[in-house]
Amino acid sequence: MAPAKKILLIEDEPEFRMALRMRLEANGYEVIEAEDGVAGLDLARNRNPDLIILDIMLPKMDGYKVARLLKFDEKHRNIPIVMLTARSQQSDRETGMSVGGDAYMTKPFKPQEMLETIAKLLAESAG
Amino acid sequence: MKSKRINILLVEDNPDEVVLIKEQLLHTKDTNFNIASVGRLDAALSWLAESQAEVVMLDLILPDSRGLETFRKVYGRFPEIPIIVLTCVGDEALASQLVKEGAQDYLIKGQGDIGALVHALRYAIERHSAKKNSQEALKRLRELNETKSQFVAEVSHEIRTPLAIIREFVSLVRDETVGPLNEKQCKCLDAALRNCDKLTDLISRILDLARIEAGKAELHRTKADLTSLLMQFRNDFTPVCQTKKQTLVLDVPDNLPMAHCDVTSVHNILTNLIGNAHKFTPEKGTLRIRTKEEGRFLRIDVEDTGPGIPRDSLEKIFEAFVQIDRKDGPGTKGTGLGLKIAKSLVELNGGCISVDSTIGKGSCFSFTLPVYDKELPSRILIVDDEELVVRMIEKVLRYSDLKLEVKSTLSGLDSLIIAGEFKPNLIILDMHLAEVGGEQVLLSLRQQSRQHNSKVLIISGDVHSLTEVVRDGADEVLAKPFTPNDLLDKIRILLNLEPKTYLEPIEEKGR
Repeated sequence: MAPAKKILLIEDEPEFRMALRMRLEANGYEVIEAEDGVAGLDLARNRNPDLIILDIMLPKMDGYKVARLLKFDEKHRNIPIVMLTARSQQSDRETGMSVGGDAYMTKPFKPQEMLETIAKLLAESAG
Repeated sequence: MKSKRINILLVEDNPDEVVLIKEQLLHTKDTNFNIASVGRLDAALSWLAESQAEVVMLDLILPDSRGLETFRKVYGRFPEIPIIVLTCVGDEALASQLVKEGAQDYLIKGQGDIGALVHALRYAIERHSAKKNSQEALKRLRELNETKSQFVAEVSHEIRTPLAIIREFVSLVRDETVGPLNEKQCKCLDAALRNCDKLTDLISRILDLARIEAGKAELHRTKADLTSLLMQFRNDFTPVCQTKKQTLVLDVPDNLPMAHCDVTSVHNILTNLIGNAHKFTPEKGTLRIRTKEEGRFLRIDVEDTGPGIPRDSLEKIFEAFVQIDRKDGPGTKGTGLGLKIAKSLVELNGGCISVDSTIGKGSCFSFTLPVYDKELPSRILIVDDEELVVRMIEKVLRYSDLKLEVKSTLSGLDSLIIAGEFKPNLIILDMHLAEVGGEQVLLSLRQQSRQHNSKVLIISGDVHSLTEVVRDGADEVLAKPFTPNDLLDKIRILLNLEPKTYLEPIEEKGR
């Protein structure tokens, strides 16, 4: 069996992080967590995640900045990023994509939607 | 009791008149008048710049200025101070013209008693402050509304995060991620999830509405093919209808003209209307979308075979949180905002919405969207008191490739009346009008034009001195002097016209 895909979860809301971790682990993913942008960036650079779930409103460094720094960096630009936010304006969505998010989800979302998005992005980056 | 103190500036060059007026006012019982007097216009203007006056009494014939000009110069610089004009017998026509231009009142010299004079002064001050108060109240109301919309937007965002957490935990349990469930437990959690989704939907709609009310809706009106939009919509919505075995019929004539609308908002309007039709129509019922051309508009009817809406509810159905009492049981209640949003969006797109319904037979919601037609002339109104400028602009417009219907006026006052009837798409307004300030015209035009979406292009020789009020009220500003192409560029942007051929540069005309 192939090793479990590793997902880095960068989200400052502990309970939301816990819920997402349970969901992802139940679906066979390995999960590592960070609760702010700086710690998240550090894990992204040093732990080789297969995919990152990234909240936008984060302490220390916001999600846009984290995404931009990773996408500028040749070594990490291929890690797919799912941006999470409580906003829903079309222009926010566009900003999210233009700074390097590969997908964008508005809270609250249906778990099935998130799992499908993750599976799709992982398949794309593997192929 | 002489309790109130009123400062008056008397502008009068005849010393005898000054003495007479002072004499009359000083003997008034219940008011304490404080009178300063000057004999020239320039002295009056500098006095007003430095001191406070509640009212100005202004003789029109002064050594350094005569007639209308005298009034316009004072009013132009100090529109916030009420002015009573002093005229001679026989000048009543001039005086009433001045009242139209903004003077509070006029007095004829040598006529009337002290009573009339004091009366005129008091009324001038009162009327003026009433006008000022209502303007201020309106401004406060606007600010308040803005604050409310921002608050709603922020609160809505803040609600989303805890809601997301609730939804995620409930669905973790529901999906048996943390252990097996029995059937009853599943039912309970399904109900919890359904209501989470409802709340999410409600928050999105409140946000939509707050955005629309704050004037921040992102609308991009373009040429749109309604036929393909509707066909796509039918394809998307048919599976939803099948859940209640309903038929969705689309009835679009061939060669339906293009619409001029924002596609996203039209989609939103249709979703609201069809969503309601679907919800309130029983199983196996029919939903029908019908379109036709009606003059300069396209009309879209959304019909259902639901229970119908009582007559007395039809009028208020487009208001927020109005829901008609129905006996359909739980689950049919919506957010109560859908129709209000639909109405706002239709109006932002330049159309209108209405409803007709027969109890027991069904309802029909109709809305209109303007036909996209670049052959349709755009109406432009030019307001400038310099005739040469007006002629120049008319000439530029006539020789452009734009299809336009142009009217012009030299008077700011007339422009308000003309704008009301002509309903221009664009008003080209000079800021420095002689009779009434361009700023006042702009504010009045703005109040009118909100109703029929006129754009305002300000032209000004001194764009740096434009006040914030003007910058907020104008859609575009163009500095004088400008070239024909500068003007046409602005017009194309404002009227959303496609850029095409330019006028030849003037120096190449001879070729």
